[in-house]
Amino acid sequence: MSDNNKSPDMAEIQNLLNLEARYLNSADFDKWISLYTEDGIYWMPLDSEQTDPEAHDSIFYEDRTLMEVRKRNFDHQLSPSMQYPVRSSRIISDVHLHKYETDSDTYIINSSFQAVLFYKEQTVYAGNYQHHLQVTDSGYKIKLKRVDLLNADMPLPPIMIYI
Amino acid sequence: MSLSIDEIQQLVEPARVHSSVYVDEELFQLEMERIWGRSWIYVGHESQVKNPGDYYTTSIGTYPVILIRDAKSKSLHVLHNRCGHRGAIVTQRQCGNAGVLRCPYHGWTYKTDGSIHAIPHVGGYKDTEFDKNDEEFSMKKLPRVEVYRGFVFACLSEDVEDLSDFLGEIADTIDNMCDRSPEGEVEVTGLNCHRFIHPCNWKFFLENLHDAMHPMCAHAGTSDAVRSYLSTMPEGTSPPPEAEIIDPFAGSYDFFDSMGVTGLDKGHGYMGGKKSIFSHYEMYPEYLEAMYSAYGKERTEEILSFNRHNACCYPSSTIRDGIQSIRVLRPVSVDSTIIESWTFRLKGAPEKLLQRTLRYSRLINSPGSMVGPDDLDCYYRIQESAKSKSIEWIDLQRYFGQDIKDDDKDTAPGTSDLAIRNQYKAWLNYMSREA
Ligand SMILES: [Fe+2]
Repeated sequence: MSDNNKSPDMAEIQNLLNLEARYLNSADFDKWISLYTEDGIYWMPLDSEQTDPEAHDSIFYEDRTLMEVRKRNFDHQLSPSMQYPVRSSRIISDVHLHKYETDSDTYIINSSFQAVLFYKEQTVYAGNYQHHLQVTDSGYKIKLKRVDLLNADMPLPPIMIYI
Repeated sequence: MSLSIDEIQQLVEPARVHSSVYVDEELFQLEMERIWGRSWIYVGHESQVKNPGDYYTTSIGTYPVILIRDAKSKSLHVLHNRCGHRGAIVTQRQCGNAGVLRCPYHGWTYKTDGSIHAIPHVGGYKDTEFDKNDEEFSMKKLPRVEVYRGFVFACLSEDVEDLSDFLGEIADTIDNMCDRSPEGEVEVTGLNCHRFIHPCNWKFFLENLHDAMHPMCAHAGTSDAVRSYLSTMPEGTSPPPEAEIIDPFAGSYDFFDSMGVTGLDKGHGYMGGKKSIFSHYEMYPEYLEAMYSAYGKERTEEILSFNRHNACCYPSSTIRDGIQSIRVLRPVSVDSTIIESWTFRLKGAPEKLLQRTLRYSRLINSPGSMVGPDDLDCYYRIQESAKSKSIEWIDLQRYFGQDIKDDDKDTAPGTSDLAIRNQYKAWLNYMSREA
């Protein structure tokens, strides 16, 4: 961890993003959730122009409570839609510091991604990630992950796992 | 077309339906013509096109149309979204604002009422049959457009009753959604909605609206996941706001039976009336206060005691007054349908209500929801069986023959198949009318 809060440890951040992708690839929700702060949020807007998740509908806008519920719903034996395998693979690139917010001591990290989800058929999702990271005693934690899909405003099939 | 009225009528019996209604291409084309082409179809909400020249593109059945506010008169038009020249779709944008609409192929331009504005190099039409004022060459207006409290409906055919006669009791649901606003009005929460691809025939979605035998089964995974998480919370902690939304999905058969289901004329219907899955939602004091000062106590209580679930406005939409949303069907082909989910803000109500509306939408209607995919998967399973012809007839006889008849409506216990039987009664009526 860098001593100077304002210049982030990009190697460590890169590592965190890779780890996040790896946990989702293996649907390891416990480890994935542990990368978020207690008030961490996963957000996928309906529209890339959207700035306020409370004033506009979103595809996902989930706190840790919902992450915990989703973990328990995933692969649930009573769920018809979960009788099919859900497999996924993610590639992240161009990880860079977008902004440091002094007030909240938050690093805003932008990157681009491609995620392939296999659910009944293979579907490619792509777009931009934005991670809001905070420094904690146990390293960087995700306070907010925003996922802007290229086709968020277009007709979509069910999205069975966080992208 | 080779299907005769006689053959069509053999597909629907009082308590079962032939599975070909979900897979037959020719029937789908006939449905687009005889049902979607002859009934009032929900197009959009006025608040999507607030300013002169604002437009929104959508479809009625498989016809592309455009909802536009006249740049001069400010009235609303619904136009066929195709050029009067060679027939190209004029605009592929989802929404926007325009003083004139311009076809990008040969540059014909149209006023916002669809009439021709200008044609390049127009001299070439001299001494031909072309007539600038002939509506055949315009972006044709749909013959019937009516607005009910901000909700815009249109019909491809001239020959249809007035909208309020078509809506019947469904108008009460629209009224109730609007009346829940202290200002008596709602507006869309954004120019975008969920667009959820359903790989199945459009009718499965409508049939599930009042299928009260499925939530406790098909959504058991989600309610179990919520319960399992709640059990890890320390005693005395208040449950997360999602719990009040998911809870009723695990309601008992008796709970849904006591809600009741009502079938109306023209295939419309609803569950509940006095009681619905929204009845137990938390009542926010600041909202009550705003309602009391707008309507007084008595009227407020009357408004808030009205509770319907999934009022089905056959064939194009389903409205939830209690949570301020509308879902719109967009049939693409015999086995593909896009379900749009729009959310509304109650003007003058505290933001908390909008937040609950959005929470509901994400939890139940988003493609990322845990509930919607379970519904969808069940429709898909019947679609596949119908396609493979492994099932021939589909049964609809829960509580058959026990409906309570009252004037123009039938009611039954909530888990009855009444609503589906009622939809097929309307289906037969529409489909039995040739030209
Ligand atoms: Fe359902």
